[in-house]
Order: sequence, then C-alpha cells, then structure tokens
Amino acid sequence: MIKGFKVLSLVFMVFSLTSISQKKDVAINCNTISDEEITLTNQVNLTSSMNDFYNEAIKGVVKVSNYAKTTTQGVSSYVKQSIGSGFFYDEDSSYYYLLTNHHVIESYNMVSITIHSNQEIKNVKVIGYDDKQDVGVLRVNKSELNSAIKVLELLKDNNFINPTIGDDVVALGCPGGQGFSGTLSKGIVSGVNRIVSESNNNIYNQDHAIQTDCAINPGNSGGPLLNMNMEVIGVNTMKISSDSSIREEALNFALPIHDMYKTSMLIRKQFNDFGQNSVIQFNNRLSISSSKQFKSIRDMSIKERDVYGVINKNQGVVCLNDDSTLNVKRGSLIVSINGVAINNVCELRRELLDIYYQGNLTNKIVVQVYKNVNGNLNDSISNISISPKIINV
Amino acid sequence: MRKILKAVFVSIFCLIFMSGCTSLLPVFTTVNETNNNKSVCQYVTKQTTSNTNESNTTLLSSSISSFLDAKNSSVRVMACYSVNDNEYEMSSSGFIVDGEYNSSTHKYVYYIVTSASGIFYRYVTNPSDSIDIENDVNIVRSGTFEMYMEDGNAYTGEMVGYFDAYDVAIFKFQSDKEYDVLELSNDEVSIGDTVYAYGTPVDGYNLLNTLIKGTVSGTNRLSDLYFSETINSKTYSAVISSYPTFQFDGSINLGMEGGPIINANGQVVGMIGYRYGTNAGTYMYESLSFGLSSANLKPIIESIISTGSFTKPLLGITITDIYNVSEKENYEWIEDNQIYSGVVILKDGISDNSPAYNASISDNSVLIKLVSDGKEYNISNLSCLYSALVQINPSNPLSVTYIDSNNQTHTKVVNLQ
Repeated sequence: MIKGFKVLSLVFMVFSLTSISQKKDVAINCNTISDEEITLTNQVNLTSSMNDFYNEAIKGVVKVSNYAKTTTQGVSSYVKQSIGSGFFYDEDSSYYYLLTNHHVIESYNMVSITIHSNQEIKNVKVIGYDDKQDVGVLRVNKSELNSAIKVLELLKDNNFINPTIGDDVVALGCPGGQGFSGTLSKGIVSGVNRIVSESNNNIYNQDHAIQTDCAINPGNSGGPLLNMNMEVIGVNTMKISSDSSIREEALNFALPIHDMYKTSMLIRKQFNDFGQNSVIQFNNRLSISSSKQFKSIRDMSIKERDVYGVINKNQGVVCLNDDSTLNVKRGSLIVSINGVAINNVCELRRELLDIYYQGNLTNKIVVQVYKNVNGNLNDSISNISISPKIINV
Repeated sequence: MRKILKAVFVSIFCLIFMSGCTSLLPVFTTVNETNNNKSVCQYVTKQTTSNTNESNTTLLSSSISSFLDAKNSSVRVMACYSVNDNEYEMSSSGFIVDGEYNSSTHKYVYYIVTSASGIFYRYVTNPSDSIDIENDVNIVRSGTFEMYMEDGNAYTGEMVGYFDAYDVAIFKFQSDKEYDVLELSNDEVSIGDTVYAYGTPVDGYNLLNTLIKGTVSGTNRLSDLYFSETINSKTYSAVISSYPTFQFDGSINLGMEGGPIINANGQVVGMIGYRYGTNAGTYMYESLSFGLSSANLKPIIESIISTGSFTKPLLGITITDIYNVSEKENYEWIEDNQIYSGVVILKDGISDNSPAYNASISDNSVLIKLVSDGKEYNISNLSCLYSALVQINPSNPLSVTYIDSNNQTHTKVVNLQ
C-alpha cells in the first residue's frame, strides 16, 4: 500500500462526455503506408464510417432522468434531481429492457428516459437494481416509443471475455444538460480487471473494472462503452478525481458487460418470480466483500507478500481473513475453483457469480488452495469442498 | 507499522517554454550551461557487481513485436526513504533497457530506466522566498527500491546511477525469469505520429501498467523540470534543470513518469516525462504531455550502465533562445539579418579557458550547427543544442558553426577534452 500518497477519491457521478476528434487515431493504421494521399483517403473513410457508426449506435442510447417527488401546499410534482445515461440491451414481445447504473436512479421517485428522437418516456418501470455492483434494470413498453430504436449487441464472444488492452473504444452518453445529449468520445482500453472502489464509503465496491482513457464525464454514467464492432463491452461508471493539488486526467472506468448482464438477468428472473409490481433489490454477497477479504498477490507489496508468506508466488488470491463462505483460512492462497485457474480477485469473483448465474447449486464447489502453516506456504495444493448454498443473495 | 507522513507528496512538474505561455516566464531567460552542469556531476560511486565478468555473461536481445508486448517489460518502481525518523515513499514507472544472463549464478541481471525526479526524494531544507535547488533543497537517494512486474513478480532493486539534469535514473535487479529488453528506436518521432505509453499512476487503485495513446504534438521542446513542496500551505519551487523533450497529447498522470513511450512497432521512442498542469492553479490545461526521446536516452543509459555515471560535454558558453533577446541592446543585428533559427551565445558569454574559448568562438553570435563524427546537428533552438550535446562523443573533435555579429558564418573545431 502506498500510504505516503494522498488517497484519491473516485467520483461516482452521472457522467457526460466532451467530444474528441477521431482523426488522430488513424496514424497507427497508416504506419506502413508512405503515400500521403492514401493516408488522407483513409482518414476520410474512417471519419465517415465513424459517423455511420455513431448514427446507428446512438439509437440504442438514452438519457435517464431521475425525478424526486415534492409536495407543496398539497400539490405533488416531480423535480429532476440528476441525469445519466442508459441503453437498450434486450427485448421481448412487448417490452424493451435497458441497463444503467444504480447510482443514476438512486433514491428515485420517478424515472424517465429520453431516446435519440428526443421523445421523453415518463414513469419508466424500474425492475430492480444491485447497489453493490451498481446495476440498474429498466423496462419500457414498446408501444410507448414513437420511433425505431436499436437494441445494442453485447460482447458475448467466448462467453464474455475481457476486451483486449489497446483496443479502440467509443463511449456514448448524455451530459449534465440536454445540450450535450448523444455525445461521442473515443479512446482505448488502458487496462482490465482493475480493482477500484470509492474511498468514502463502501456502498459501491467494484473490483473488476475496464480502464479507459476515453473521455468520461458526469452524465455518462450508465452509458455504453462500445468496441469497433458496435458491441457493448462495458457500462461507463467511474472516474478518478481528487480534491488534492494533483490533478488526474483520463483515469476512467467501465464495469464489464458480462457481470452487468448476468446480474441483470438474475434480477429479471427474481422479478418474474416475485411479480410485476415488485422492485428487486439484488445483493450478491460475494460482490461486496471480495476486495477486503481477498487480495491478488500481484497487488501486494513485497512487505505484504512477506507477511502472508507468499513471497515466492506471483499469481493467485490470498485470503486476508478467515472466510466462512469459501471455508478458507487467513493466509491461504486460492489457485483454482472447480478446476478453473484463479489468478486474481476479479477471476475469483467472476467464477462465483458464474456458479450462481448458471443455477448449478446442487454440486459441491471445489476450491484448491495452498495452505499457510505457521507463516510458510505449504508446497502441496489442498482441495476444499464447499456447498454452494451459502452463496446467498 | 512505519509512520509515513501524508503531506510528503513532492510534486514535481514541468513548465514549458511555449510562445503562448510567455506570461508565465521571465521575459529574458538565460540558461547558463556551466551552472547547469554543476549539479549533475555529483555521482555516487557505482556499486561493484559481484563476480560478474565478461566471459560468463550473455547480452539479451529484444524480441518485442508490438506495443502490447512491451507491457511485460514495463516496471513499477517504488522507493522508501528514511529521513529524520520518518519514512517517505516515492513511486514511478520504468522499463527494462538492458539485461544479461550470468551463467555462473544462473540468474538474469536486468537494468531498468526510470525518472530520477519521480523516484528520488527531495525536500526543502531552508524555506525562503526564492529557494535554490543547489543550496536549499536536499535530495535523498539511499533507500530501498522495489520493482513490480506485469506478471505479478516483485523484485528488490539496486541503484546503478543517474543523470538528474535529464531526469534519468538506472536501477538493476536479478531474476530467474527471462524478460524482453525493450529496444530504443534510432528514429526521432515526427509530429502526427501515434504513440503509446505504459505507466502506473500514483494511487491506491492498482492501475499497474496503464496503457495510454496519443499523437505527437510537437518536437524540440525545452522543458523546465521543477521541484516544488508545500510547507504550512506555502509552496516552494525551484528549477531542477532544462532538458529537451517532445510533446504529445496522451493523458499521463503522476507516477507514470519514466514509463516507455512506444511506437506501433514496439520500439521505444522515448520515456514519459511530465504533463503540464498537474498542479493546482493550472486546471485549464489538458493533455500537454512531454517525453525524453530515445536518441537522448540511449547515450545516457549506455554510459550509466557501463561506468555508473554520465557527463554532458561542456562547451563553456552562456546561451539563450533567439526570442529572448529580440529588441535587446547589442542583439539587434540578429533580427536585422533575419536570423530566426539558432541559439544565441550572449555577449561576454564565453567562459575563460573553456573549450569554446580555446577554439576562439565569438561571443554575441548565433550557433546554428554542430558536426561530430560525421553526423550533423542543426541547432534551431536550445532544445536542439541540449539534445545534440548528449549525443556527441566528447572524445571526437566537434565542429561548431555560428554566425557572428557581422553576419559572417564561421566554423571552428572544438576539442571537448
């Protein structure tokens, strides 16, 4: 831990974007092209295709307005308290489903969406949310929309793999005001599996974010981060911002779509079970404690590795305190779950979410650990079987 | 639990000489080359390497094929210093620039380069209205150094040497594992080039080896490397040195200094310096980032690895940029003769018995070209001169071309030794 440095606080806010030029990104493709005219042609093509891309993708993006109810002299009215973004990600015969961040709709009395045609649909149904994973799920009746929208594709290749670092990405979202609706910004994936959390309180604790240098600002929260195939790879959620004299820039984070999607499907399943009038407050216990209970070796300092006796290892997850859920002791090094290698906390968390998502709760979960005996890591790997029922929601 | 003061953050940032920012700067800026060099000659003795002789070591070569592979050779460097019973941590980024395999110890030895101002700890000893980097600021270089790799491994490192004036520090560590050595490109960057960079921002969020992308926005920039420290809400700052950089628009953050700047082929074109506007009061600035080019890094790194130190050759001239002397007494001839490119050697700016003095170079003149070992360096501004001086070999005769105040062009051969 770097204690000498000012601890930065992550600002969870409703994000908006400032536009950036797409032209600067062309040069990498042109490295092998010496003819300047070809370079120019490429730029024109790219710019025009980016515009096509935008015109198509923006149909899937909405502005989400969060209204509070106020009562003056016996007359109730709704007052807009914050604005964020959201996007269409699924549909059935009568409804479109939207994803956004929980913090966009936090303490709402009424939620509205504004689609690309500027039509505002009020009283949108909030199906449920998970405040720990910052997921919010909305539903809108198809008959209420006056123009065609697009249900955005999600990155589902290879069962939701991580995006590749260095990939070009585009963020779409809405601003603090109507004037900047549908803003596009472009950047690259700067990192994956980042453990980020808000330092002020533990309401939000995200340990698996995609890092991007794409411009993300208040008003962008809940909006999609898209790859160049127009697939959603994440939901723009956070940026690092501090009040100290050090000014950070472009340290922005999106939550990966696979986890958001799985949680949203679990919320929708519960919604169907509990009835159409309910609002599901989903809480996956494993999503909240992992960054305090477990730590990836690679995120530990040399001194910390020494304390837990893992100085000669470089991958795996160290249990910082005895954990009853996984039945592992402090100092144990988790290396696999059900045969799947666990290199870091994000993979641990994701694997456990998967077990729950797949609904396979009858089999035992096999956790492989190196046991720490008297401060020394045992050379042999032990199997621990646990019953999955304790992974509660 | 060690005690680490929270207020220790030493923010070092660079101000850039840009025409648009002249209000930030004194109108008449001179850079005394002789003074600049005083601070950089206090090298520590090179640590003696144990049992490493030429016969049982093999130099490693680079096999990087793209900028993505460079991540595995990027390093987070952390330092811990103990000063007056308090402990201070510094964090910077770096990358592997050289390595060898020692067949007798069966270990690889890797050399990494990082930012000297980012990893060494400076503090003000004599707070006063105008502090001097030489006399009022102490620098601590002896501490413990830790290197964190992308693969999760962590190593204890050892300092090899440094060249503060150009913000370069070299460390080494031993490992059983083979890592790629990053190749320093021989090509200079051009405006418009796409560049990538890896670095680890300073904070508690485990952002190891953050990748950023940008476009080269300018070349031949002169950056002033500043030190600043706030004590009792008063900020003290002083210039460490002026050094040549190129400018790009990638978003680098504090802690990323020292990381590799890479082109799309995976060749290192420079080392991350600083972003203008990381400190309070400069909130309007965005994406003004600067790096030291590989052409300048290479000779410094090679010298430090082989001898433990680097010394910039001294000409013995006091110089400034042309725009600083425009409409100044004695220097009207420069504009009259439409000379817009070069470095002004000030009137009485030749130090006695210096190499420039011995070669009878005229003062009140404009230096426009250096030639050393067959290679030509066009000197259009101070940055070009500072860049050329670290690239030339001082054992070769240096040919200096300048225009005197009678608008006559002369070429003199200077012996730098």
